[in-house]
Amino acid sequence: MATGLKSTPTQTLPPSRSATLSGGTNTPAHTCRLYRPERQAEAKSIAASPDHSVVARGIGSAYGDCALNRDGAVLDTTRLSRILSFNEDTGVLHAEAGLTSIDLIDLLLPRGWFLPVTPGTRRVTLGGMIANNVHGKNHHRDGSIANFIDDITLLIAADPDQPELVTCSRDNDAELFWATLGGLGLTGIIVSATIRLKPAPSAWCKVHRERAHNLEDALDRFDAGDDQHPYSVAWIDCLARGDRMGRAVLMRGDHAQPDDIQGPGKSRYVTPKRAQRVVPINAPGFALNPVTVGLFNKAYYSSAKDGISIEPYADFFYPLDCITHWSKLYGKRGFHQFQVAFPTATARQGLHETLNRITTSRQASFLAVLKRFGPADPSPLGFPIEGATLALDLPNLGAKTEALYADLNAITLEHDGRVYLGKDSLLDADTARKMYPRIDEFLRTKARVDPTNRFDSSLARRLDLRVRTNGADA
Amino acid sequence: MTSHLGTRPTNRPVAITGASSALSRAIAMRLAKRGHALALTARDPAELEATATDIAVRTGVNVAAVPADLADEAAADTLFARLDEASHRELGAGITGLVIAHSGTPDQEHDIADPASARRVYEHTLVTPALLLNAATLHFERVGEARDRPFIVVIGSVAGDRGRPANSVYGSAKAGLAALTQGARDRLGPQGVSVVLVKPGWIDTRSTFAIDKGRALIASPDTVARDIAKAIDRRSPVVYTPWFWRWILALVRIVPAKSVRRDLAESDSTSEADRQAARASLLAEVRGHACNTIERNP
Repeated sequence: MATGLKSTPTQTLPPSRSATLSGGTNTPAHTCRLYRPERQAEAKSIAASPDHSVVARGIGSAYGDCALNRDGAVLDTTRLSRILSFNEDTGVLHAEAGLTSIDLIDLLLPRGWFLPVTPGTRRVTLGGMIANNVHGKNHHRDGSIANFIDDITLLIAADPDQPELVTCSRDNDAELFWATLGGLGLTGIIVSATIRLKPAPSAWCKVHRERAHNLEDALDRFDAGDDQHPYSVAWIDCLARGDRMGRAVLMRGDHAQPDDIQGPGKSRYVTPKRAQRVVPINAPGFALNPVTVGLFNKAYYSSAKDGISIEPYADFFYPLDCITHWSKLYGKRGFHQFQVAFPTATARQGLHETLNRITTSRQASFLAVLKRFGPADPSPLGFPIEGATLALDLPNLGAKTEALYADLNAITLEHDGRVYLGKDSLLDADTARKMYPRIDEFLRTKARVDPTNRFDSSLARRLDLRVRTNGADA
Repeated sequence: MTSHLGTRPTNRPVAITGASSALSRAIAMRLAKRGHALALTARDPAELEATATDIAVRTGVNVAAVPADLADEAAADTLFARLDEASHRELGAGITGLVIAHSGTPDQEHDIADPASARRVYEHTLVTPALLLNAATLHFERVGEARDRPFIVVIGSVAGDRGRPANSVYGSAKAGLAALTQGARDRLGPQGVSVVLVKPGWIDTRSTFAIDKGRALIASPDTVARDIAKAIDRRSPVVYTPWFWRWILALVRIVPAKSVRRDLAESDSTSEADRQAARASLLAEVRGHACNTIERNP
């Protein structure tokens, strides 16, 4: 056993090793003690160990440091990934937290079921989707994943010597249920959950594309047409300036009906296998610069055709998943993702100033996504607020990027906006408190199920999402 | 005992032991995808239930869960009969394949010093697998039908190929199991029953998780399961998985211990002796690398 530390005689820790981990952006990277339990009882013994705090981690796609725990333990859930029950008639699935969307879709889409809410990658686990209360292209209509989670079974440490499994739901400890949704793993280890899948008429999507010549135009089009489309998102050109600032391609649509799928070789639940491309090594630092990204953006905008097309679901929902390690395009310094949400009242102004600051910075970002958010849900750390959200990548250029980031945060605060914690690695504790006024409420719940901060992470320490303990703060 | 009804017609039930382990789960998934109904056994009923449901939902085959604590002598002695009986009752036919995949959890230094600990390792790595293999041998000899293409797969280990100070308790158990498997194969050959001995190297499971260097040599459970499925098709008597372990082990076996003794490498004098010493030290290095690798393998 790699850990030379003491453990209680009755509960032997499963094997572990020291590992330097990072999220999906290659930065930051922290050294943690990594465990990978294969049985639920092993997860319990890890949480019971007084030697370290612990945070759960799925397949490590989260941008930022929410699934890192510098000098503490990280519990890899990928071997706790079993389907515990599935009702073929209702689509209600109970599964362990490590089940990935890749597995879930490969398995259940051919049987007519799809995720009710999905982020822009399949490289996520059920536990990770809950801990970040993820949203998708349908937030304006369906809300976050929270709306489709019936219950969560969680390992808590109310008594840190005797961690126990509890199941929470809207009817049973709703406070813990909502704190866990978007709770970044800080209320306990999510072991399993019940999710209501949605029927999918096919594995294809019917996508309407239209170009908007600037930000105002894009937002107008969202306001005018979003009600007709369950899924709606816009790719936005972060380099175009002046009255072209925020020019965008709107992509809106729905699952295709069987009648929509015509043509030779097109079958209802089978889509052509996508060629998987691999970015084998980190690209040199200069590969993505304003010129190359500008050319890409220009080509992308110009080649987009207005109109309707029938596309494989993966092209619409997961455009980047066909490029393995795409984040290596940003080179070994990686990148930061900045995702901001503004309430409806200030959204136009906030987005305008944010984009303005980014376009003048000339810090290339070839992936910027704009979409409208529907109403918020009751989760105290939930990110979505009714309004609009913008997500973009900032290549890690050190101090220059941090200065830009600070300016963007100032704009965000000024317009009552907030940054997505699950993608963040740069925010400070004071700013986080201003953006998330319900942090104290969250911490009161945490104090009840985890009074000693047994569940802790690099993010929790950075943003001070920790319970005050009497002097003996671990 | 419970069954998990799948949605597709299945046949030729296969029993798998140690079913809560990552390797057994991977083997079970492989065989289920080929349409085999499964009878799974493991100690912890709750873990076993979860695994059985998972495989039934994912693949649509029928899965019977038969919890058994093999530390209990009666349970170990009757395991094959119980599996076959459950298979008849819940899967509609008797067992046509058996995968013996459970083993003890060795801790060499502790095992050498503590008879109770060593006994447990031998019990779970050699004794209970051997009793099960014996029962299966008799069973298939009696009722094995060539048209069912019956098979027995025994998970051995590269550790059984050569005794090493670092894992000889476990290695000797696996070596004993290998000899028994060889006998069963010769006995059942005429019946058309194939008996496969699998010798995995490092597999990405609990037992290798703590290794922090050289993880590139570690194979996924699914790779190993794929090799096993292939070996069943080809009726291979012995399969190393991944393949390169065959050559590492061949090297380890042919290098005589004497020629790599350090004192030989250190002897001076004539140029002939120097050459010999150089050769010996080179061999020692190769052998050292190979043995270190095996040593880490439980």
